[in-house]
Amino acid sequence: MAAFIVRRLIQATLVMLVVALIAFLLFNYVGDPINNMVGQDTSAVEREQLREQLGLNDPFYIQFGRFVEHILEGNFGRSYRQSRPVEDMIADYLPATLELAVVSAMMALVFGVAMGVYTALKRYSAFSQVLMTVSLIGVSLPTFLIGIILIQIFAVELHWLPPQGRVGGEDDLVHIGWWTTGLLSWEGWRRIILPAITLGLFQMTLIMRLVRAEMLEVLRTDFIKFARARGLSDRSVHFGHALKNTLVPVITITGLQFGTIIAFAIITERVFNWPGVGQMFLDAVIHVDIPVMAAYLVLIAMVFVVVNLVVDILYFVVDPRLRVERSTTGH
Amino acid sequence: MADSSATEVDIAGRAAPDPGGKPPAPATRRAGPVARFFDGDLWYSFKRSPLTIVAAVVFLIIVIGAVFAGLLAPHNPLTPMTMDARTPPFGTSYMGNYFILGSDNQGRGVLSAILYGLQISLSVGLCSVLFAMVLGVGLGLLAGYMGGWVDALIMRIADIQLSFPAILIALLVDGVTRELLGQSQRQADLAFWVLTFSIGFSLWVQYARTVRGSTLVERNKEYVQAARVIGIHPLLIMLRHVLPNVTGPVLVIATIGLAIAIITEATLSFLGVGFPPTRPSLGTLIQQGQQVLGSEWWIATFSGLALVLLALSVNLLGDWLRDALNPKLR
Amino acid sequence: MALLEVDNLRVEFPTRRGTLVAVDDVSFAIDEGEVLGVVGESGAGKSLTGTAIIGLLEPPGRVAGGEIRLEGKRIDKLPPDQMRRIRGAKIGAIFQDPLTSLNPLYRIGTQIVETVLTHTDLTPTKARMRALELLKEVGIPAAEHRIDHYPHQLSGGMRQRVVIALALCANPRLIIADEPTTALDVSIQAQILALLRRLGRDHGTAVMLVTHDMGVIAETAHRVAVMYAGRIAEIGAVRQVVGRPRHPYTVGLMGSIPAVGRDQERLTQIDGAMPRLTDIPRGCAFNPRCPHAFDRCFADRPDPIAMADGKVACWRFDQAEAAAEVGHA
Repeated sequence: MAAFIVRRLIQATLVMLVVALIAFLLFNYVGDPINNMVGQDTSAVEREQLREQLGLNDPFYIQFGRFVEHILEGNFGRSYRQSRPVEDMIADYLPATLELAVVSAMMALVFGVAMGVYTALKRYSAFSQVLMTVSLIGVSLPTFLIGIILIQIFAVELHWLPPQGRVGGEDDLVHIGWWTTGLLSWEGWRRIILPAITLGLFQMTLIMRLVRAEMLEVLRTDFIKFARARGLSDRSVHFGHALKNTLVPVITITGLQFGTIIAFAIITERVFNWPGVGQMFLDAVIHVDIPVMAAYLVLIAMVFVVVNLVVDILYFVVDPRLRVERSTTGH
Repeated sequence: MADSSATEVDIAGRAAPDPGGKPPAPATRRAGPVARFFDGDLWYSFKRSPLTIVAAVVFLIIVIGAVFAGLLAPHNPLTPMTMDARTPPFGTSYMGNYFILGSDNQGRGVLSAILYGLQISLSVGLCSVLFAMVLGVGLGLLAGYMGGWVDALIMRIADIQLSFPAILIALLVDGVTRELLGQSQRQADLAFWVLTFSIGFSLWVQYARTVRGSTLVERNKEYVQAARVIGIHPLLIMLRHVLPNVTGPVLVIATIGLAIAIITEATLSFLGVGFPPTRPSLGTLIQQGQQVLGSEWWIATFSGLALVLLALSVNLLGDWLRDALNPKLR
Repeated sequence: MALLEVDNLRVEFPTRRGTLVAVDDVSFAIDEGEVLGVVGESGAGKSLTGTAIIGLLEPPGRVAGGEIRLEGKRIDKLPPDQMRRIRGAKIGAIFQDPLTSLNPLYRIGTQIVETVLTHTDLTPTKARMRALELLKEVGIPAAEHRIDHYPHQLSGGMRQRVVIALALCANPRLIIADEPTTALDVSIQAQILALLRRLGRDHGTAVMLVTHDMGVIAETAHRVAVMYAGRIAEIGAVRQVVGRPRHPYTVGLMGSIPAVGRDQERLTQIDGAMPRLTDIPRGCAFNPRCPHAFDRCFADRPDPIAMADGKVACWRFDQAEAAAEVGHA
């Protein structure tokens, strides 16, 4: 198991290096770092001096090495637009996005699995058919439209929930170190519901369809037939045996989808004016703020790599076949 | 195999995370792609599914409306008049113009704007799917045929890209392209190509995986060796033999990809990085309509409805196609 | 009264292109402690007969006619929950592939304890002791150690022993073993078959042994039923059916097993293949392949005809013809 984890870590490092390379290319060749640091009236000589000073005339690999070093130190450069360190911006915006992402992922997982199991077990019931059709509509509804519809119904018409923003006032935010959380106040929860639904709906339908397909597959296997032949109750067969065997693919998809959730948060954050890294990134794209774009790219890759590692470790917990054997006979 | 492949196609394009990486090729279908393709089973399942028929009809109506937007649209949304602005549905403006679905704050007729918007949605969608298909099929063939480090490199890139959602790739490519082309360039024509490229680029992986799988199977067959002897490039021969095998899966991926591309275009335009506001794309229409949802509700409502109908009908067709080509799934 | 009685069982599969009759008019009985072999090619309906008895036909398959009685009580019309209580408790089942019959995610001990707890009132601790006993009974060495292993840590033969232990959890009266040895090495095969025979001897457990391997039947069963295209072609004592087969199909099947005093050369193999369920010919289903087929075989379907020591579904053995034929042989 340790060997496997080490191999995965090496792979993860490679992925991060590739992404860092892309970010570096963006940083150095798409945007001209000098242009963005100095005014129009700077002379060519001064520019050249600055280039030399910043090491922009160094060989490629030295520059890249420096870039990686900076990333490791948590130094992502300065935003062209806000002219402050990108890492400070991330620290400001990241908690909002992560809270939103985690809440909606949990929601998608719980409801998605429940609905998937239901539609697999009651395959021919009317309600299952309705769920399957609705899920297709869910996939066809663009995230931003879902958000607009939810705001219109629950905020504008019914006045049940606030339409926008993470907090009502400063009091709703609690600071824990550099982290700020809105989830310790009632108002914070009220405000996260609609965006979380908007963001999680697509993943929910995806998980539901996946769980359904996997359940149907597992229910056809010999060991399920044998479990029935042993006289086990339906509940035990369905939830003890079938569901557990669908967990591996579900864990995979949910894990990978967490990256998707963070990306789709861009849209949700825009619609709900949620102050997260998605909005930060979108502003960066619109105004071509390359350091922010590059940092966001690295950040997303990092989240992805970490989630993947967690997923790999979860496999070992769920599936004993993957654990390395020390004792034993066998084949 | 049957179900895992379904999963892959099911989530095609939208960051489709497929752990196994199996190609969703059903059975091997040989020769006469078109003739075999529309064999009895396909038509049979089409006729038996009312929902699919409805979806096909809706899609057809939308396509006709979009293609003939110039003829069908009651007003020209590219030359709006302010005096026509904010007319409610079934209302007549100060200018005496009648608007079935109302007009927006620029004086564009919503129906006309939607027809032109559908035109954009469909053309961006089709072009980017085509681009993704050519890119994906080509790279898949290359990876499967060459093997070795070429294969490893292409598939590794595919894996990495697969973990980044299409919308994110499209946003990044969009941002970079606009920087490279100069930020001021926001004419509609350029926007079209930037969007097509960025969306298409985000969707190629699925095709590549499918085609690569099929190519690996064909690679060692004797006719490939034989082709070399008679001096035809084996890659060409393989293209002719691999393509019929992957027609089904590729068509499914393309259909579902079309829905994703349409939604992605609308989303990018909604976010303000797609078409400029002067050009009536569904995304920009909805974005503008959303701001005045309280008073002029009809703008966002009708353009949103058009977008959902389009995406839904394409998705339904894709769903049907996938099931029809994979009878084991039922 | 026999332990299990099956009368005129009929299993149907409704499909898009009409109803398939997969098991048709099958009747047999099994006594306590008896091993009944059911033999036939794949698709002959032998596995489905077993599945129908334990009430686990996959929809849309269904029992469309006939009766199944266990200890004199009908069990084919029981509500699902009552049938579930019979499964595992009174009828145990063993399936083809021991490699896939066990849930890979649970320790074998957990799976046995789970089954024991389902059918008895034992405490978990007692259930675990019972699980150990069972593992020892089916001949698993170092059971105390093995009980905490996962299925993938055991060899195929070991796994099949675990499967048998699982089927034995509640001391069932009948075990339906569907190709229990097909996936195993020959040497392990013999051990497993010996184990099944011992169960009948020691506990009076009846065994319905479904297989396509006539050799396995000859070695293990007391009586044997030969199935062809969903029907019983011949049923009788092993000695009779193997030694002096009557039905032309059985005769063909015996081609591989040496039988004294038969005209071997002409009958060592059967030409053609068993018809698919969608196009079973009129009359006797075996008629296209039968070297003795005559007019009647193409017109009417033969019912099993009672002979002195079994039944044969073949017109050659009808009344006078039967007498003549037997005398002839």
